[in-house]
Amino acid sequence: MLKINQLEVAYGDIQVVWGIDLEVPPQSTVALLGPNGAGKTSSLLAMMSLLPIKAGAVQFKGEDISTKKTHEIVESGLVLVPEWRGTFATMTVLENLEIAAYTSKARPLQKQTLKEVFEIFPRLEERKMQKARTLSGGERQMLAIGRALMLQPELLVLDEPSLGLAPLIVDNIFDVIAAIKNRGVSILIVEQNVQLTLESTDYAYIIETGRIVQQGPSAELLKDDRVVEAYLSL
Amino acid sequence: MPKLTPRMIISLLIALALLLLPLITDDDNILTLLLLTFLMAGLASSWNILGGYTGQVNLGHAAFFGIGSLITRQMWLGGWPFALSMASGCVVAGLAAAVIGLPAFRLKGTYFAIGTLAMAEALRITIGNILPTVTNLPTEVIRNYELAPRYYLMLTAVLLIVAITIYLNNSKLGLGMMAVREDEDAARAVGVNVLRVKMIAFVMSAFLAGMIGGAYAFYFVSYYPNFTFGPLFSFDAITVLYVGGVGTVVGPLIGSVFFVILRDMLVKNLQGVHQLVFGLLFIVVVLVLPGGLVEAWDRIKQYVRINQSPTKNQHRETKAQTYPGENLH
Repeated sequence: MLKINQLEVAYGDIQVVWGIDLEVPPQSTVALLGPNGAGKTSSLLAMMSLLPIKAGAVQFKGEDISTKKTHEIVESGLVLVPEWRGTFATMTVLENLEIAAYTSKARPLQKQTLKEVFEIFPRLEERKMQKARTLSGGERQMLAIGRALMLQPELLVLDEPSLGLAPLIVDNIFDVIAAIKNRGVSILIVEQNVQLTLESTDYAYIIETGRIVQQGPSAELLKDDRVVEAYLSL
Repeated sequence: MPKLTPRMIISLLIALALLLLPLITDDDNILTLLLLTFLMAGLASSWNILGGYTGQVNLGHAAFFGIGSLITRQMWLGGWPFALSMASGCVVAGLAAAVIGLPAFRLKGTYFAIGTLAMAEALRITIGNILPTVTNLPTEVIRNYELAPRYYLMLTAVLLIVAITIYLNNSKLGLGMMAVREDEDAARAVGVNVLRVKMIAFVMSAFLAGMIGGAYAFYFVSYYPNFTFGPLFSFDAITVLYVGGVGTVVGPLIGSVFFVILRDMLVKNLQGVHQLVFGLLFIVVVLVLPGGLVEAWDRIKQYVRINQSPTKNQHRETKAQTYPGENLH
């Protein structure tokens, strides 16, 4: 479904991603793991055309998207929930969700999707007339994910959904991710919470200083000595 | 059709009173003061579309006001029907924004503001050199000059702009504009074509400023063609909007009433320092009351509500608000 080929990303002269290969097959959940500054977010932003691509190719549903504009990529079904969440502070929860039905694909399904989003996140329905800035961190993450779902994604890309959230809320978010997966949406998730992510994905890549250093089925990585030592032992 | 709220009834009554006023009074002072209030309300409201809703600070708004008035005036004095002249003024102002917008939107934030200011100043000086003499209305027109039609034209223009901002508040386009204002990258990530939304907002804003310019060209007996390009028209509009409440429909209306009355009082009693007073007022509003008079009104309502129901403290949480204009400065 998504195929990244030798992707390189640089901020001016400073290169942060050095040719990564990554694939997300249809109906699968794939993780991209690694420490701070490894190039995870940069790869995602470049893939979404929010950062310029230095070299390499990104294919979505067999089509090259590396020269497309962000809104066109979103329209084609590849949707990012950004690390900073990007909920629109002065707009209400409902407006935040409504705006996400901007694309021609999502608009006719808006009412139905809104109902589904409220089923997944009852809390958002309770707060739909509140301004997004009055939400807690967890609620804001729910809103960011709900907003992405409004766009009818075929592949949902989550950038550190657990960042800055209390453990209980992190569990809740991962339950939601499982529920989204069950609706037939493919997921690419970037995380630092390695244990939980490996438990809830099919396949994982580990990135360090801009290069993929290891990959494999998540269940295997969970037992891999190097992974356990580097990320899971405390 | 939304049902009538008290606020809508009051708004309609005020609009009706303003429409009937010239039939009741022919006091030129009152009509002139109101016309100037409409002028400021129109300029501020049209600026609001790009600056308040879309978050792009355009310090060259006067250029589009100027283009509208220049085209309208030149065509009208050249013998074209007034309606056609004014329509052309609006269209040319809108087209100018389209031409300027493409390169200007490569700039962001402060740089966009500086770029638009420079563009307006360059245009003002150019027009001043090309058309250095005062334009007068023909004696025929002056002989039959009546204020009421000018008043109605300006009022209609403002009502139209208000109607458009109300529409924006409830439309997909308006939501897109607000999303761009809040967070451009996040707006892109939810499928908003950011450049397109900015361009639409800019062209709308300029078209409507051109419309106000056209109405102004109809009102003034004589002026220098580059007068309407003066930077004060940009800065006064912005002051009005911030004093009233940026990013809201009623903000520019309240702000313009406040501004014109205060300016009238200051010019009569403290001539020369009124610009200074407005400068200070602008700074105070931005620092203390970033949501303007609209915010002041909300705070009063909140205060009353909390005091009436001491057990319901949840209203307090909305106190720590940020306002649409916050990210502009």
